[in-house]
Amino acid sequence: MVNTDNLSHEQLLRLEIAIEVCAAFRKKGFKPILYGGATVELYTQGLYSTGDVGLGFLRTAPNLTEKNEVMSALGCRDSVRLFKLREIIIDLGGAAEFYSNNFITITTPQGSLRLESPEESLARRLLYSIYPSTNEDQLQAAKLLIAQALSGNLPLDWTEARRVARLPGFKVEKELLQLVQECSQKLNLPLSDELLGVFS
Amino acid sequence: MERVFTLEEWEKKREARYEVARKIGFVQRSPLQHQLGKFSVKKAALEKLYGQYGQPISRTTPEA
Repeated sequence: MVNTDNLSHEQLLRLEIAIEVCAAFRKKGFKPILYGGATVELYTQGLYSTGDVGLGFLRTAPNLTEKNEVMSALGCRDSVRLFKLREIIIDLGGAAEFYSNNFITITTPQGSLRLESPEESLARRLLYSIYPSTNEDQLQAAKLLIAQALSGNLPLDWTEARRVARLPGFKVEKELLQLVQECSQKLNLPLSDELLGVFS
Repeated sequence: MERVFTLEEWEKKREARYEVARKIGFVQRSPLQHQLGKFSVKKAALEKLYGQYGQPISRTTPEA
């Protein structure tokens, strides 16, 4: 059996550290967003894990000096991109290109954490599942995202999901529809009228 | 449209998410495991945290 207590502990530690790092960058006027695998992990609970905290920045990103000023104030050694804080690796990216602004924010008494939108997260997994070559794990991650959304465990706007999937950078609308039908059948959840309307 | 949840609200659905993941199927090889084999910069630190194969006892998939 999966030890959900320990799983929870590891995820919560990463969340806690992500919140601390984000707060430090926000104080300097930056807008950090948790993106990539770390968000898929939080959204799906499906053992998808990158093990680190991947942060990108909305619009303006800190330069190398600014990154190191902030991270060294938190107790990290100077680095270019990968920092280690209390044994957790922080992967600090640059200004990230976000195609959907439907971010999800998780708030705690210690601060908040803004996550890449689940709609964009889904489009990316769908793309990575077929390009540059087929990838079963990315496909499974896409199924997990869809299944959680169909089950009401993940707030996902299907109109937005379809819009992002149709963008020239993704072109995964057909794959999205196929997987929605597959997951709906597997979970024995009939598609709602709203969802049928989105894909009609 | 930005959606805001408290951590408590988010965590309330943890078990429900796990149940759905169990039904739909877990990811067999997570990016963490790929990274353990790929990036030497991350490798040592990740191994220390997660073990050589990226799946410490606490993160193993359900027993066969």
